[in-house]
Amino acid sequence: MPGTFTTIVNHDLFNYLLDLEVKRATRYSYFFSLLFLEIDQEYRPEVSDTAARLILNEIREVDIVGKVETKRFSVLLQAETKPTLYIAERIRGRILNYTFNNHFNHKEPGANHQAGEKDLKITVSVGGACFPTHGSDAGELTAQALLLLDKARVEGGNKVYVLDLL
Amino acid sequence: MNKKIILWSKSQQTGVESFLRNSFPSLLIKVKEDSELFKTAELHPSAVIVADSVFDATMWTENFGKLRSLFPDINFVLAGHADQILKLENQYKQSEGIEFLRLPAEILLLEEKIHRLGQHKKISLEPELSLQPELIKEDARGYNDYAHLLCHSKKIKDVLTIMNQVAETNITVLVRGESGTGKELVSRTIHARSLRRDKPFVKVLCAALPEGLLESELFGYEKGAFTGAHRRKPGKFEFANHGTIFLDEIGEIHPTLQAKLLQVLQDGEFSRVGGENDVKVDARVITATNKHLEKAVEDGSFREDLFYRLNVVSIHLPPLRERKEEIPFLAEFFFNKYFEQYNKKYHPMSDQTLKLLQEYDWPGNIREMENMIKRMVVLENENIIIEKLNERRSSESKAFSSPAPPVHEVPGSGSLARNDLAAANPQVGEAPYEKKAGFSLKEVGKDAAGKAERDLIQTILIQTHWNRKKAAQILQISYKALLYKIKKYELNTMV
Repeated sequence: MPGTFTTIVNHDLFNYLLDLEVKRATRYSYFFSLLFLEIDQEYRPEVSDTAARLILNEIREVDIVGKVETKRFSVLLQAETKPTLYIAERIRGRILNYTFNNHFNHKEPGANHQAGEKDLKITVSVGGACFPTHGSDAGELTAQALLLLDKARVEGGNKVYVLDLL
Repeated sequence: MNKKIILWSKSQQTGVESFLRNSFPSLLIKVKEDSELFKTAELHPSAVIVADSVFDATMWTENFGKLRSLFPDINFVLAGHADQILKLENQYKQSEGIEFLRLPAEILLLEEKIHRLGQHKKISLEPELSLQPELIKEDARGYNDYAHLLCHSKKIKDVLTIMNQVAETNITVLVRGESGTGKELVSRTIHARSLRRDKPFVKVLCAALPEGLLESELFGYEKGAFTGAHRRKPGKFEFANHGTIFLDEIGEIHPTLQAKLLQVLQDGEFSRVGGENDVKVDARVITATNKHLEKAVEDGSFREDLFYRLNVVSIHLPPLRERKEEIPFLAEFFFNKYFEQYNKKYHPMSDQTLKLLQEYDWPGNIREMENMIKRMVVLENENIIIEKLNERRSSESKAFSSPAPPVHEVPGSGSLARNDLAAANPQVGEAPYEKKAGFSLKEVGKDAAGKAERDLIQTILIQTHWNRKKAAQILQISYKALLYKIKKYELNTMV
């Protein structure tokens, strides 16, 4: 089903696409952004799949989501800083407000969330940077975004940091 | 005691020869004829024979066998086009005392191979020379066009020395030189050797864009900065962050942009067109120009402060006519390069062509030469460039009758080699293209006539106390014609 196919790519493919995007953006002179997201809590892997789906829901078709490790995602956004910040905030909010109970209670998929049960929530930290202002090659851009992700995590998680474009 | 090096070559002057002349000036003996070779070998039975592209000659196998049996102590370096060498390598795999040299790629290994064979005492191996193989190594990384820099004339060595000294620093470099001398190449090499080599190298041609466009190209713009700015656009400086930005033809840049450029150089900050905030960048700036910037500073078209900022280290690339000794080498390099690229059947360049190439003045420098050789290879016809060169020379000689003819002197070994050639081949000297660049008869006549006319008019005018009407009558020309002549020869009452 071409055109509607959205998926999470693995780390190698993501890096390849990132490299490609750097070349393309250099050649055609445009901005793009790189986000790193990490789930703040330790939960079973299924949570991560749901989170990935939530991220996919919040971005556009031309953006790419990669999975770095179980808890960490990378996102390539066709946007400059301001929209990137909005999108990152939206993803953070969506995950914050989502109830993951089904996974923790070993309920069958599709079973309804029962009243009175304690809501199980997760949060994400996000760090982002913009090409080419914050990094003129893939390595530098990644480093900048990861630095901000670390900053968000150290400050307790559930935070979004995106370098300002100025 | 040093062993002699016998260069066995059928051609007038090749890259190998000029390389050897440079590296072993006192040891080199050149032979052309086979009989000459045997005589020389008899005199120096332990020499190293460098056979340069002589394998197509029919007598090669026989001569080689004879040499080996007569003089077992003689060692060989077989130099030639890659295909030939591959064949020979298979043929003489078992033999000892033979080294193979693929031209032109391995030319720099020649010295090493000769040392290995002859155990020569090292002859002041210059540090720059030993740096050169490094250049070839970098070829594998994607820059395969260091041809201009592979040369070993004194002037280029100086350039290489400066380049190596500044490469690893973050100093701003100004590369100067005539069009086609390889300014961009030098800049790329500096970048490739700097600590920023893995970061971007961004090239901006300042002369190609009008002022406004150049500004938005260099610094980017904000959304809505001007009509048509639908989105934010990053500037080239942002792409060059932590890398190198190369500004070609910096002399063409507009004064308002000069101020902005100065700001980037000084503070490492700039703002996009229509932007309010400053963007920080860390880019090494390399600029190039073929203009006389000092002059531009004097007449005010180039900011003095910017000039000093850019001219921290200046690398001057000498025009090709000032380093003619490199022409055979370069010619061979491009010749081989395009033979490979266009997959043509290899045949060596004729001596006549090479000589012609060496005598031409190359106003377009190496670029002109490269393209001319390319044309020759593609069309598989040397006559084309012979004709072309003759044509240009005749138009050149017209230009020489102007009051200040360009300096025509050939320094160093180049001129020596040329004289040698001329002495060795007097019959070549009579060929039509050999006509010395001088004065065209027509031009000389015109000039002399003009001078005589001017003097006469001046004398008559003084006689008549600048009564132009009288003077015109004496000179038997119309009054108007006299006025025209006075204007033309810039005569005035003061004279």
